[in-house]
Amino acid sequence: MQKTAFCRRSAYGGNPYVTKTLLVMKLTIIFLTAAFLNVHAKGLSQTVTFSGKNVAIRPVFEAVEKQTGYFFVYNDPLLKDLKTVTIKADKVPLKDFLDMLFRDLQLDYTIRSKTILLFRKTPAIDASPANRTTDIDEPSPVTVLGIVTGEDGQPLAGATVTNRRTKKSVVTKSDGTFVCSAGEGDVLQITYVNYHPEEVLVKNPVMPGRSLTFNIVLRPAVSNLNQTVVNGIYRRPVENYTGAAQTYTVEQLRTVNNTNILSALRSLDASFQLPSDIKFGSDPNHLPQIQVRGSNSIANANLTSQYGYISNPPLFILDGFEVPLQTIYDLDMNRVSKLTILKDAAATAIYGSKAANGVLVIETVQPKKGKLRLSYNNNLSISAPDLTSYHLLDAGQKLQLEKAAGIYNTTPQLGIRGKEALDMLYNLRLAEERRGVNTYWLSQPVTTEFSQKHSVYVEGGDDYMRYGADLSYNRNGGVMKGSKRDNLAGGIHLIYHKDKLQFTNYLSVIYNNSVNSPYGGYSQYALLNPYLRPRDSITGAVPKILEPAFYEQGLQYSNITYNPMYDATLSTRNNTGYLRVTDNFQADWNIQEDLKLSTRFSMYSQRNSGNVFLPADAVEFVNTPDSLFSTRGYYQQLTGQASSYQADVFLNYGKNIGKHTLFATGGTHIQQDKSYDNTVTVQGFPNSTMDNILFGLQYPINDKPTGSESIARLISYYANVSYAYDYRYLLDVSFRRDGSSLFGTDQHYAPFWSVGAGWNLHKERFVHIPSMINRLKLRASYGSTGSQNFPSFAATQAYSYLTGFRYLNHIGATMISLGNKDLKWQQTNKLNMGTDIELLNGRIQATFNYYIEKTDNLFTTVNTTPSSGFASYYANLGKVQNKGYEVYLTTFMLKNERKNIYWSFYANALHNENRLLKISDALKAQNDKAVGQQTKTDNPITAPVLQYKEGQSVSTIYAVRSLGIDPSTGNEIFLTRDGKQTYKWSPLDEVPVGDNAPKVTTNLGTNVMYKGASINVSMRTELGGQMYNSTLADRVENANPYYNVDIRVLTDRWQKPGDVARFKGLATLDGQTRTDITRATSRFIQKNNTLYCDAITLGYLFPRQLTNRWKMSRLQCYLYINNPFVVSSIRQERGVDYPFARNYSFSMQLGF
Amino acid sequence: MKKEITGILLLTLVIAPGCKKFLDVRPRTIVEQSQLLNSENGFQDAMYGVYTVMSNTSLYGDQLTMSFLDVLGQDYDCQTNPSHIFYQTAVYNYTDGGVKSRIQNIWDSMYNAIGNVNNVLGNIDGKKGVFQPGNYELVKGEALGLRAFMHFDLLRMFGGAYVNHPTQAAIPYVTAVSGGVTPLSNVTEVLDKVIKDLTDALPLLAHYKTIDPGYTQADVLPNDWLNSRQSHFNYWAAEATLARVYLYKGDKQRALEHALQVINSGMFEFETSDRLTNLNDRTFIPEQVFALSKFNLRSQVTTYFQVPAGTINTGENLQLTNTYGNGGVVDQIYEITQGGVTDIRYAALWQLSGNVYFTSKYWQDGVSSQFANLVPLIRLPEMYYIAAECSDPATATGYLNIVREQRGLSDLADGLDATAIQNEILKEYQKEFYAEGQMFYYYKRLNISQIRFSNIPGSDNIYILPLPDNELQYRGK
Repeated sequence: MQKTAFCRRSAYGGNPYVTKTLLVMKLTIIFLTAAFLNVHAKGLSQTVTFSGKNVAIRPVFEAVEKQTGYFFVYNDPLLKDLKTVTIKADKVPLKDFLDMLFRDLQLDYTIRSKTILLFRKTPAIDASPANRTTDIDEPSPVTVLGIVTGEDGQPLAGATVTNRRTKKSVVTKSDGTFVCSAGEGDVLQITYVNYHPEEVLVKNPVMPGRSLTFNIVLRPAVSNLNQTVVNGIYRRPVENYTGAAQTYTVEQLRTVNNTNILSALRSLDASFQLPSDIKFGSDPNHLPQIQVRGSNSIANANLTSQYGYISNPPLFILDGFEVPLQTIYDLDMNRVSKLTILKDAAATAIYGSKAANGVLVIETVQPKKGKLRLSYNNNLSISAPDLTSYHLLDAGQKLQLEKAAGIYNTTPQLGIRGKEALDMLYNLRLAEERRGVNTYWLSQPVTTEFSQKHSVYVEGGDDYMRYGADLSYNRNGGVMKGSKRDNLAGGIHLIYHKDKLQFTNYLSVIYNNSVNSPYGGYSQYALLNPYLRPRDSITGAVPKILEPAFYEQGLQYSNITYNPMYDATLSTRNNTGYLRVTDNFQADWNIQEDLKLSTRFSMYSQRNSGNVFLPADAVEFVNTPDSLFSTRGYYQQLTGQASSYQADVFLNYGKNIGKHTLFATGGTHIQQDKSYDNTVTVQGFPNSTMDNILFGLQYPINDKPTGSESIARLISYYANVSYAYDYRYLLDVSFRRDGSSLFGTDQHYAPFWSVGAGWNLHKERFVHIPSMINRLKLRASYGSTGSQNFPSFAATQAYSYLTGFRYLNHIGATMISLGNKDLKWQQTNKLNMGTDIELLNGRIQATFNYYIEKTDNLFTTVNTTPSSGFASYYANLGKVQNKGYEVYLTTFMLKNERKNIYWSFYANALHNENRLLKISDALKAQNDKAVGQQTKTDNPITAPVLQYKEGQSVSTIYAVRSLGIDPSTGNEIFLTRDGKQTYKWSPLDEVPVGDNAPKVTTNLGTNVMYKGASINVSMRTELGGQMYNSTLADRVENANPYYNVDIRVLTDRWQKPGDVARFKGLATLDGQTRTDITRATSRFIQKNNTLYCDAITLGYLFPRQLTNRWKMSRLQCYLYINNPFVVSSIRQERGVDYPFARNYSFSMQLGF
Repeated sequence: MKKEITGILLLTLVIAPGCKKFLDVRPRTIVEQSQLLNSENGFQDAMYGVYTVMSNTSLYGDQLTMSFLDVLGQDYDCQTNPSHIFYQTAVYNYTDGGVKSRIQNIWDSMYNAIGNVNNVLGNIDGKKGVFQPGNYELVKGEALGLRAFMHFDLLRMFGGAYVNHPTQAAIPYVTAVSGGVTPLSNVTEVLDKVIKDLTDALPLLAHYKTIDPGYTQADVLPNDWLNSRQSHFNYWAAEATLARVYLYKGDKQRALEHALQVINSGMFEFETSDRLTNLNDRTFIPEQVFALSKFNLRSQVTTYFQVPAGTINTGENLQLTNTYGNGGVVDQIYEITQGGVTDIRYAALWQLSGNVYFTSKYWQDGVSSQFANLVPLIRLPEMYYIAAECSDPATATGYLNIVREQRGLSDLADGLDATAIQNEILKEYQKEFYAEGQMFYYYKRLNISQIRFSNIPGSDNIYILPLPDNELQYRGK
């Protein structure tokens, strides 16, 4: 029987493809390999010094490994029965040494990067294929069919198959197959970017007209080729990458949080921060604030906000397309496969004008081929409000405080008559307290809430067509009664490929319904007095009035107290929602093996809706007179639409030429975002069951629909070239030119760029790297990126039509603002230096980054004299710098694959230092204004105000230094600017006393796995920052004794001369109720060192034997405890509008 | 293969040049200046924008005519009701937060309007070619005139009176659009700049002097800018403003010249009682030299000058009225015991709503639409008053009698001396310009220490409104 065969150039001795029948052919291959190796060998400068007589081979290997840093790779049986060797070498080049060593042994070798592969020597035959062609006539051609795959079995499209003899080549199709013609003895060379070239021999004898089929598996040229950095436009091998990027897989995210990508990421990466927002607590409907590394912009408007520095969200890229934060917030985590945070210029410059705050790239799962597979994930969770930060008075204490604060003291005008009345009021309240009324108001509007999430994924397909379909439902209940966020999402993913073309389409729909609690802001419950009853104790009805105003003989002694819970008993409505349809389409065309053209297009259309309904019976309308009955109750309806389209055309080029590896990408991007919304209000809803806008009586007088409309377009050209020499020296250059409609006609375009360089030290031969180091890369990058927080009219003079008015039946137009023609794009220049280290075969991985990010032309509004026609204009205001370092460390303490025991630990830390380098005079004037606001008497500002000063950070806290409370008077002693003691507080004495931003944020976590069971703990710390404890200021010292207050009011305040107290007295020395307001003082600046336990997760992966029996492919369960505890050096109430919650959830993943 | 690559490159080249147009997109309500101020319509829209700002509630649509300024002039009884929204204004408490914010709004809006005017002026000369004949001159003239008109009113509020503070620093006279700080000019400097702008405006506005005070729909001109001239700052408005300015500056001769220009223009005539009763023309349209059209004027009328339908009287803390009948303040103003009952301004312009008498000047009820929304800023009688003030007593009596006759009053007695004439002029201002914001300026111009119906003596404390805090703060003092 005639046999045809091919021979794969063997890599490892035990390769199953190598059979005895092929032995003859091997020689040829070796020859070819040797020729190929010559190229490699040229650069070998490593030398070996070794002397030994009749030594075993292994110690020789060890010596070589030690001296050269090269590794021997072989199959153990290969070294069996080998005779000892005698060798003497002094500074002999490695190759020569090896040749010498193996001369008499049945061993041969080949060198790939730093690996010396050993295999059995085949008997020498004189003939080489090259010679043979001269001997043999032109062989009769046959059709050769083959498929080229990677080690993972995935077909490699675009690999080149060259017949060495005829020099003809073909390229594999998208399914990895190729067809060519070859004769007997022909050698086919298969090359592919980033893979080792392989050669196969078409074996004699070949039957003309018959086809051959074989499978060629290519091995990656670089060990961690599979690890690529993806930035949404192109991917580069980690090995070649010079930027600072951090990648997380969904498995990593899932060990922390199964529902919220952003929270999970915060727990994993210290540089990804969601500054905790005390105001919004765990409100499921509040999108978090995000910043990556430090803050590159400053607050524009609200100087009295404590957090003026946090509005720096990164750019979100989902499957290559920009999406809003909301999309990421509502994204089903099961759809995510990988997530990458791009930080420095080399990584982000390709996103140009939007990249200054970093880029978060999210890739979703792609359907895999195979027969239909189904997987199901669910998540059931229970949230419980975390009220441990509140320390309020109970009913008895509260009455005690009221008495002490002088609420029941009569005045000289009222005299004895007042005393009687006030005593009566006190006794009424006391009686309630004695009856046992002691309402814990904080627990009234909250509940333990149950949430659930289900998602199903179906996938399958063949080489040509793959499909995936997902469907998920997520009901995220909030702990404030009645608040929730529901998402229902589904999508269909289709991939078709044939020959050089591949088409991918993903169509998805998401429906969201967010319901806000009818109970209103949470902080009002903390104010309610505990001696009031929330419900009628007999009927259980919720009264509208908790306590009527107290009148005696026609005089009023107390105000009426309404019940904030009353509205919740009515049929009110407060919800928003959206329906979004997205379609992403991509077409790839492998023009050549190394050149690919991709086109992609994404569009979405989103309909927003919102309803706020309050019937006439609501507390809000109690003071509306009967004559205006038709204005009681209102319904606000919002309708809006947002749409976007984005398209990209780009070319990807990648080629290995000898030691040169070149990747290049160039393309163009076009984008349009459009939105509008309008709100209509209708009044007069006497009946709460008539909860449709149709049943309203009238429009409010002189009211009209309100709303907004916007459109923005972007055109960009971008290019990136990444070059590596021998995988040792790396160079990365990016450029992007962005044109945006947000800028004036004359300056649509702005350029952005970056240069990165890297050095893979571990591949270097002239330095000795200990063998325990598998990877040591040094890299540095510099470049510029921008941010687009520019309103469209800031740079040019623009007019807006006054659509709400008419003048003589004409619509007039007025200038929107003082356009500042000198305005420049806000540019952030980023310098990043870092290293990546891998030790002990990946047991320890560490990354270190040092960065300096300088934002020039810092952009903000400047107030000016109103006589210029406008109160403010936009201007470039100076420079801000963020400097810091990041450390990432992952270790596998235990890694025993046989026993299936793993123990890993990760830690990362970010230290960031923010500094304003330069600010303009205009901003200095702004500071004066902020300071001026503090002296206002009406509606006083008790917290420090934002001030910007050169040399300080944007988050510096300014307050007057305090020496504490004078024990003899109960007054606070301040230090003036020049260090004198005074009782008088003045904003002019404010100095920097702290910084809101933590000095170091760290994330720590550990994961233990044993036979499918796992435990994960992740924690987060914020260290070295300060905070103005506004609970102390507002709820202890400026506390209004008419409301419930922090318990420290009663315990820690100064009472009589001689008391050493932290807080001012309730009354002054002469017994009068204290009326002075405590303003920004260093006394309330506290160190903020906080440890958050983000999650404790228990997981169990059922063993295969069991799942097989149950006809499943996979079954995994998780138990999450999210936010179980917070340990903080600062005792402050958390959760102003919405309380924080602890979360316990159970999750199950099923695969069929 | 090369062909394909070339194809791609070509495609990119084809796409690329279309980008500029692609990027020139704006939200519909936002227009770049270079696009707007590139056509006659655009300039007109920008000017209509200025008029719109001027007619908003911070300025002549409310505060500077019917409410704030006339409360300062004690036209209404707000000083006896501490809960009234204008109580603090009526007692001249300029440090009160509410009053401060009113003043701030006036300042901000006025300068915003000035900024818009300046932007038109800064761009119009380069675009002369886009206008149809005559309109360039008219638009530019109106812009210059408005700049002067608004600065003059700012001076009359925030600057010292010329009589006693001619060289006191007053207000910035802003002529360019910029974020910079314009230094304060003193009273005389401001007046000179006002005069210069008005003088420059006159020849430009002279391109079309016709006013059609009848507001007849019949003769609508195809060049729309020429319609409704009294709602534009027209030639006669410039003349009349010059008369005001010279009078303020004490240059009586020039004041008289310009006042007579208007009087003798033949464009304006007195309101007749027939018109008043038949057409409900309460703002006296034929007399209007310059009047703004205030969109949705009705809402103010309802708040200030009417009792909501179906109720007796709620909202007395918002209403602007005065005691009427039984010898009340209104009766005193109109001197009903000395024959004032026949004064059409008393008989027709005071009406009952609910159980309260209000000035009905701005009532829109029963008014045909072309008369609605007008807020007069300059009217013919003022020119007679200026002429009277600038003439000898005998001539002055003549001027005053012309107005008195038209209003249904008997002639003044002969032989009145200058003081008596001045007193008659004061009384006329009070009767004539009720709810038009002129009283305060009158008292201030003459630095009168006794403001009628107020027991607070007139002085700089009252006559000079403080510059808003913002202005002082960013001015750097």
